[in-house]
Amino acid sequence: MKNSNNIPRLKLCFYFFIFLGVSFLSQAQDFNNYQNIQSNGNIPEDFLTLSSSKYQSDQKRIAGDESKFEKKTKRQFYLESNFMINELLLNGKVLYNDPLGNYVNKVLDELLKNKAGLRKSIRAYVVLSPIVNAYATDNGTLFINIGLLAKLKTEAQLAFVLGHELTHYEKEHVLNRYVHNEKLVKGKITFGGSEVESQLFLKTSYAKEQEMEADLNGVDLILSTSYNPLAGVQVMQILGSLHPFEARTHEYAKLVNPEAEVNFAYKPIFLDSIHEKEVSEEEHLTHPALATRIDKINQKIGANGLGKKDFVAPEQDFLTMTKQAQFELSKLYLLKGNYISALYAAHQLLQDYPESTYLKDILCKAYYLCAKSEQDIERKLTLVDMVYQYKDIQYIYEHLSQMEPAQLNALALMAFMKYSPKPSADIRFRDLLADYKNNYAEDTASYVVAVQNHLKQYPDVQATLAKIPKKGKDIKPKNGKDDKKKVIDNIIVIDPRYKKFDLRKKKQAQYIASEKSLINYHEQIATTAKLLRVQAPVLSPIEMKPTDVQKFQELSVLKNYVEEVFTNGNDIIATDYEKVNQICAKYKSSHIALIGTYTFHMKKPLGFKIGAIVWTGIVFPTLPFGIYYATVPSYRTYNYVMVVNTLDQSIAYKDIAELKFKDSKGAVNASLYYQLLKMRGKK
Amino acid sequence: MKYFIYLMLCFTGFYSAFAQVPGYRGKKIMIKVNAKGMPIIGALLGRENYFDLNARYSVGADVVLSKSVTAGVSIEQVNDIITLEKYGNYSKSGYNGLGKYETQANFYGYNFGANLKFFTHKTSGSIAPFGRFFIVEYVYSDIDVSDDGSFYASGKKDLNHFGAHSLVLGLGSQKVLFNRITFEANVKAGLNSYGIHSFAKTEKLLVQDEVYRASTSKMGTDFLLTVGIGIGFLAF
Repeated sequence: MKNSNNIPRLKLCFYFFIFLGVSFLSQAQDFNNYQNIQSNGNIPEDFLTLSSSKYQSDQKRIAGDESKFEKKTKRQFYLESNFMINELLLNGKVLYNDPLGNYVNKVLDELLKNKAGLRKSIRAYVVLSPIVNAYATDNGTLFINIGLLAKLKTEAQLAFVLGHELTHYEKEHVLNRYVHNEKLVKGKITFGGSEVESQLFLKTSYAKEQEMEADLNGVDLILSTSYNPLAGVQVMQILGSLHPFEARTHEYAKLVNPEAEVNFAYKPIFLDSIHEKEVSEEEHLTHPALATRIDKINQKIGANGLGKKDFVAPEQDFLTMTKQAQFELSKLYLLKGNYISALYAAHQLLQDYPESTYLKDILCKAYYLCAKSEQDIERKLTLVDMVYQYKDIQYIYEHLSQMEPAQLNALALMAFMKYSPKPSADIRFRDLLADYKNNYAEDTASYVVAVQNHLKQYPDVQATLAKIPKKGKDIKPKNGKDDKKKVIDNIIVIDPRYKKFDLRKKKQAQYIASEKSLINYHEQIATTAKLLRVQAPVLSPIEMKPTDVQKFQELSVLKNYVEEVFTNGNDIIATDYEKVNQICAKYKSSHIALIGTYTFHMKKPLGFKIGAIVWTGIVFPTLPFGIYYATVPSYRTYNYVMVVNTLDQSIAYKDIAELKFKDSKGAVNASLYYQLLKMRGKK
Repeated sequence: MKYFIYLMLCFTGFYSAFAQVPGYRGKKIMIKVNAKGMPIIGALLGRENYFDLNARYSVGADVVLSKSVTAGVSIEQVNDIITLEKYGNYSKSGYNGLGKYETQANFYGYNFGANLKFFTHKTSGSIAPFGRFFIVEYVYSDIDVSDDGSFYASGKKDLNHFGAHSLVLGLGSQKVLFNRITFEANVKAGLNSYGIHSFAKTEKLLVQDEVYRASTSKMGTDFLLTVGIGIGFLAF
């Protein structure tokens, strides 16, 4: 007999499994159609508050009973520190309200659940940087690089890293180190030996003391929670490892031979021992040796680590977070021009996510960068140092560095054929084809011939190849005469700069005056552009409101783009080329402008001063001019305008004007107007 | 009406010819007032007091011709007194007698100037009309020397009338304040051509040589070294 009561239960179970399945699928789909993480919600106050305002409020933290020297040093520290932190926050690489940052903040909540007061004063942000690092500032801002997040294995390890950085904040390590170093410079602390040696020793030993204190306090903090304190030891071991990926053979070798797909025999090369190097140079380092740190942490933990957890939140959340960090890392390598690490990372991740369009796109871009960069010997050499630090990656480098440009071009074309959904529609593929047609079509190397034969099987590729003009490129001409005649009347000005320095003083940067001038500078740019009928929207944090999150993201993309173009060269199509041109299209422009002013006050040579007074004294009615000349400082002001054409990545206009007088409003206006007039060209 | 149209056409032509000239934020024409003085020089070379500033005032206009060059015109009023030496009867401090004595004459007229200023773009980054400049100036002086009543007993007024050409070189600096106001300071040195071109309407009198000597000496010292300031308005 049929039990009718079981039907709803079965239905329920069915729905539950469907839900579970969809959940898992959606999890997998996230990475297969991965999108780069980005900032969300309103822009935090940290980003929009002027450095000078932060400095004003920080000055109140200086106690009245401190010595004059300490007060002065601390004021200088708060000044430098606030401007440096703002520079960092606004460099386009710091994210807010992003998935990784949100996760880090959740761990902070757990870590500081018994310290509500401290929690309120801490803000943690994730930085788009491949470098394995995290750092604390004196004002409670913690920065954690993606490079570090990608390497962590447990939530407890992240908690230890945060605990370590929190100690730096709580104990005011950065401030104390600054004061300590200033005392050394002023000779208020000495330690035998030569002055330089003494200073170096005292500086590094003080820094090491602080690092050890941060480690041990981090352990204390962990012990007060449910997290496993052994995470401290694990973090140290992770810091000693070289990259976040497990050593596995991957698809790279298969690409090398498109016909046979044989494995490439890596040629082992000499690897400098990082461990030995670290020990031998320990006295010059600001951090203690890893082995020493591990010993101290182990002693501190003793038997207290038993029964503690590696994960407090669901483990899946952590795994998703680190995987996202690793996905981001592969792109960050590309932006830095480190295509070998990008290749390695993307190939490794592709084994777990073979359908990931994101990773395939990264691979195409990395092989493209590899083919284009290898033509530049100088750039190739600079990569060597970077690559040799990574044991596994050096094999790829070793192989690629032995390939001829024609082979690299063929390899990149093969990568596009394998990974790109529609190679012919890809601008990078067309650029490679143009190189191939103009430079390598006659090459008889077996690998190149094999690729040629392979390409012949694809009619659309052949059609694209036929359309490419001989000795030309598919993208617009670069730095050609035609560009000079073009009218540039629509630019996007990104993050204008204004810096003042007084070279007569020991602390030369004039932070507050620079910021004040920068605020006026925005208005000067806008007015000048208006006078010349140049459309020049300015994307700058100074002018943003908390709700301008989209503008903030656009600014980050454009800044990273410009940095990449300057790093990799403008003959290589940038990683975010398409995204940048979408943003530019929104502003109805195809030009990004970098505009800035740097001004320096300098001492006049004594001989000049005396000479002026003597000469004007001889023709004595002009003596007031001589006295004026001798008493005022010498000035140099530099205004620069650089415009990047985002369509062909060429430098459409560049000019640096040197003015031998003060950066008065009139001087800056006159120079800026002339530069923008030249930039605009004839109408 | 016809002249007005010609004027407008010239003006439009002028503007389109200099469309790519930066000026100061596009402004290329300045109207100016200037003041200059010749401190001490008059006392060294002529019969003037040490602290006689000999201030002169002028009005003028400058137009920006290119990135580094402006052209200007000015008209300056000359209204001074020169000292003449006379031989004859005089009365001083209760003494009456015959001999040499000093009397004064009015030195009045206009200096018409035309100048070119070269802003040192390559060496100092100046962009006309902002920054440091060298100036080359031509000045035509149209001067009347007249008796204040103490030279001629007859009541005759005119002593001399002459014109002179001067070439002046100098250097200076010009700032722009509030985007509209220009402020200029300069030092100039020039030579006056009184020996080449002068004329007198007066009759050949015994006194003419003295008037000529005193007038030309005044002209010479006036141009030898001057220090000036100017305030202008960037009109359009």
